[in-house]
Amino acid sequence: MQAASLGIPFQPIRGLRGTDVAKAGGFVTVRDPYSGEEVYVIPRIRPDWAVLHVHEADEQGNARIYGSPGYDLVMAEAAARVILTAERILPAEEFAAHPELTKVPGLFVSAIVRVPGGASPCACMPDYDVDAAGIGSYLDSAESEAGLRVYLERVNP
Amino acid sequence: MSSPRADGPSKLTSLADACRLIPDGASVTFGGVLLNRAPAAFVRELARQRRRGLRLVKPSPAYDLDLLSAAGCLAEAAIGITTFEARFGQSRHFRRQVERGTLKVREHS
Amino acid sequence: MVSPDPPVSDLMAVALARTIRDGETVAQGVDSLLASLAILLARATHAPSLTWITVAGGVNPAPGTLPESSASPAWLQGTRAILGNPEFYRLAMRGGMDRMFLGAAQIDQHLRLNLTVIGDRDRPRVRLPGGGGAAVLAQVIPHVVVWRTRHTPEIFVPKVDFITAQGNVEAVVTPLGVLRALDGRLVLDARFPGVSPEEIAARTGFPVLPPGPVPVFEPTGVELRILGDLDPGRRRELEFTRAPR
Repeated sequence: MQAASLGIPFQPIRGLRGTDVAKAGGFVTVRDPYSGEEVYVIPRIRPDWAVLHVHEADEQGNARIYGSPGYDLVMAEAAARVILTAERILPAEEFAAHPELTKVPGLFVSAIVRVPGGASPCACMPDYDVDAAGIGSYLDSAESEAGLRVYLERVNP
Repeated sequence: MSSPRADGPSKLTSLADACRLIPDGASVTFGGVLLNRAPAAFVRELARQRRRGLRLVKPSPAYDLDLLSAAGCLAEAAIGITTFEARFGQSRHFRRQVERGTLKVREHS
Repeated sequence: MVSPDPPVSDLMAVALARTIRDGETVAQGVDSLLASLAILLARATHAPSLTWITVAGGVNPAPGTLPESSASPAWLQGTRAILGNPEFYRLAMRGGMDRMFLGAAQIDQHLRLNLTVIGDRDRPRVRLPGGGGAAVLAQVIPHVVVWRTRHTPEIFVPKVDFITAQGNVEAVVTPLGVLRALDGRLVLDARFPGVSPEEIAARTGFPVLPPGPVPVFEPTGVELRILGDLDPGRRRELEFTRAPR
């Protein structure tokens, strides 16, 4: 996805030598024109959509993420279009007061939905931790198609 | 203090409408890592709307990958690692679909 | 006083901790309770100035007692910076990481690791969690230490079904002892108390004994006591009791 965020067709990467990951992925090497070394290059990945759950956002999709952003920022830049779900929608003034805290600029975002608890049963710290009972309930329900449908009706949104 | 200029129309929408933006067959990535901050509610709505043929890309999926696998929404998945970690173990429904041959996986690392 | 039979989880945690040299920058992967505990132990004993990047993105956190999941907020407790996943990979790729702890479903005599599939790649008998970057990390991080909570010929195979990663694997810790890389092959280096070299050979799917005698690995009382303080609830046992992949 990093290559996609740079708008380039592929990206050199170290490692991968002698692995089936390289083989299975169909990755190829190229010769570095400056050093002469063979280096693997991996093709860009440009998802059609990125969907991110964030802590706070305004109505134009400017978003704050607390704690580790994981890969979210690369995803927001690599995907063609971005949808956000947010714990809270805040007024624009909040974001204007501290734009440096904005992790996803609204200009990348196509749509935003207010969904408090939108990561649950996963964690969204500091707001809520992993809901272990909720994870267990999902895993048990998904053993059958029927069980999964019941789960989806019960846990809505 | 002057009030900031609004940067265009509101992009606020409903969960159901936001999900409808994603068609069958689309490639999608979800934020978060493993059991942290995955867009779980959105994923459930995609499953409820019976989306098909999605191509999921995510370095470290768990709930999202497993649920969409179980719901039959995925044509393929490109992942780095998937696990529900110490207490719950492997992504069992994802694993089952792959072992049955109903879900194709592309390795990223 | 050292108990005559320290539990295997304790022996493994100490063995993993002892691979770390003071001053190193170390990281663990996901599903890594034992490795996390080992890093905490090393930091509290012989490696106080190690730098630890946790899988949750914290740098030198002070989690108190051992949290259960990598998503736990405890991993960010006391951290003054967050190194997210892309930042961690970039640091590793430019040579900034010294040591990483990894799991693997299969390990072969040539120190190759399989974290991907058992059986045919396109229709596997067993779909494993995946490499999670190991294919790159095992070549850009100079010291890679692997551990397993079981030691069987199904794990230690002559040839892995799928090469997920290979490169800088230098040691493997199991419930039976410690194996090390020697001239490109995996060889038994130390055995745990009460375990014979013959038993280890019988449970390994390729020749693994060194030419000479195999020393017994002994933890110190101090190491075991500090371990008890770090994980009083013995959460480390979770790695042993959960159904293996």
